[in-house]
Amino acid sequence: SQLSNQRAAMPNIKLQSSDNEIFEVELEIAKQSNTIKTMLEDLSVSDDSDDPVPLPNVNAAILKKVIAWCTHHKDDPPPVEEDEYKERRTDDIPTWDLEFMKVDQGTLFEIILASNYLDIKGLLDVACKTVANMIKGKSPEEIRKTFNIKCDFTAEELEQVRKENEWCEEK
Amino acid sequence: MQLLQLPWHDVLFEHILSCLDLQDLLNLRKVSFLARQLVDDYCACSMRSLDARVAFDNSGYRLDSCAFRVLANRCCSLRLLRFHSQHSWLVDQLLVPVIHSNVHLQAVYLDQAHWLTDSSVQALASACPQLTHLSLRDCHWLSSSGLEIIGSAWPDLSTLDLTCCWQIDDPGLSALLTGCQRLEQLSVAKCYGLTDESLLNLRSNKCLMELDMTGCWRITDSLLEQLTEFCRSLKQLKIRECSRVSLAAIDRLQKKRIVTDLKPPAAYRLFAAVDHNGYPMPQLNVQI
Repeated sequence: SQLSNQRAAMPNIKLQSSDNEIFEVELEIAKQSNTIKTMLEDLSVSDDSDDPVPLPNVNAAILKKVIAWCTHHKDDPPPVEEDEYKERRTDDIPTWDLEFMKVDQGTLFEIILASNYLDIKGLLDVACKTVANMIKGKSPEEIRKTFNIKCDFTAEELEQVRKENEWCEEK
Repeated sequence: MQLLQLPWHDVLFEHILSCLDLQDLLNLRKVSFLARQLVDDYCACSMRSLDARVAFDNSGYRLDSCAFRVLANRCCSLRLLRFHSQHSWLVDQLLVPVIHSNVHLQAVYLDQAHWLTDSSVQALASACPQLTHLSLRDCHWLSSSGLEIIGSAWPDLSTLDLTCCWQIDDPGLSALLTGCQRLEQLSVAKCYGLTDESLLNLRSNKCLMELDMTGCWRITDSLLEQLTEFCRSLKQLKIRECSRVSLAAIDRLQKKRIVTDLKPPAAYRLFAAVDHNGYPMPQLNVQI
C-alpha cells in the first residue's frame, strides 16, 4: 500500500519511550525489534510517518541501551534456530557484549524485559546468558547473596530439600 | 526488580533455566520457596532435555537415584534423555515411569546403562512413537527380541547406535532392519555375531549415509558390493578389523567415493601383510 511504501522508504524512525523521550534511529536498526517491525507493517499504527512509535513498556534509559546494542549489531546475520538437543553454551558471549552487560542487576533485568517485549532475540539471548552465568557453579547460599534472595523455607521444608539434594552437597 | 520477578515462561524457563545443568537446577531449588517452585514448574512445563552426562562430567558430583527422582519424576515435556556413565542405580523400575511421563521423547541415549533390560526398550516403544534417535551403546543386555521391538515400533528411526551390543544376532537385526528402513546412521560395531545375512537387509534402505561395522569380522566383500550397489546415499563406512574384507573391495569403495576408516589400498600393499587370496593378514600391534 501507499502508506507502507512511504514508511519503507524512510531512512529514520522515531521511537517514544514510556517517559515520553523521543529517539530518532535508522529504520534498519529499529527493525531488529520484531515488535517494531510488525507495528510498522501494520497500517493501523499511524497514518502519519512523522509520528513516533510509542513504546509504553520501555523507559528512556533502557531504550538508549537497547538502541546502542542494536546499532552495534546492525550488520549481524539473522539469528539461527538452535538445535533443541544441543547443550546450550553460555561461554560464547562476545567481548563487546560482555562489556555492555556490565551494568547493575536492576538494569540487566530491565534490558531483559525490554528485549523480550521488543522481541530482539540476540539481545534477550545474551542478557539471559549473562544471568545464567551468575547462577552457574554457585552454591545455594552464593545464589542467595548474588540475587539478594531470602531463604524463606521452614525448618521442615529445608530438611526435605536437603534430603532431596544430598548428591549436590559440598563433599 | 528481582530475578524471580522476571516472566517465568518467556524468560526464565526458555532462556535462563534452559542454560543450567542438573546440578545448577538442584542448587537453585534450594535457594528459597519460590525458587523451588520455579525449578519444579520448569521441570513440569518446559524442560526439554535431561542430560545426566553433563552433570556427571562437569561437576565431579555423583548423580544418584535420589537426585534423578527429584528432577526426572517432575518432567513431562522431555524431548531428550541422555545418560553416559555406569549409574548402577539406573534400573527399569526407575526409568520406565519417566519414559511413560514423557511421551514426546525424540532422542534417547542410554549408553553403558548396564542394569537395564529389554523392558525399558519395550516401554519406550509403547510410549514414545516420535523417537528418531536411539543409542544403546554398550548395552550388552539387548537381546534379539529387543531388536524386534525396535523394528516394529519406529519405522522413521534415523539414528541407531548398537555398538558393543554383543548379544544381538542375525535374526534380531534382520527383523530390525526390515522395520527401520529410514535409518541414516547405524552402528553395529563390535557386534561380533553378525554376518552378511542380516546386514544385506540394508539394501532396501535408501537413506543410509553412515554405517559402522568395526570389528564385524564375519562380513565379506559380497556385502560391501551389495551395499554400494543399492544404498545410494551411503557416504561413510567403518570396516576396521573386518578381516575378511579384501583390498580389492576397499579399492572399489574408494572408487565409489565412499569414505572408509582404512588407509588407501596402495598404502596397504606397501605396509600390510596380505595372504594368498589378497586379504589383509591379522596383525599384532605391540607397543614397547
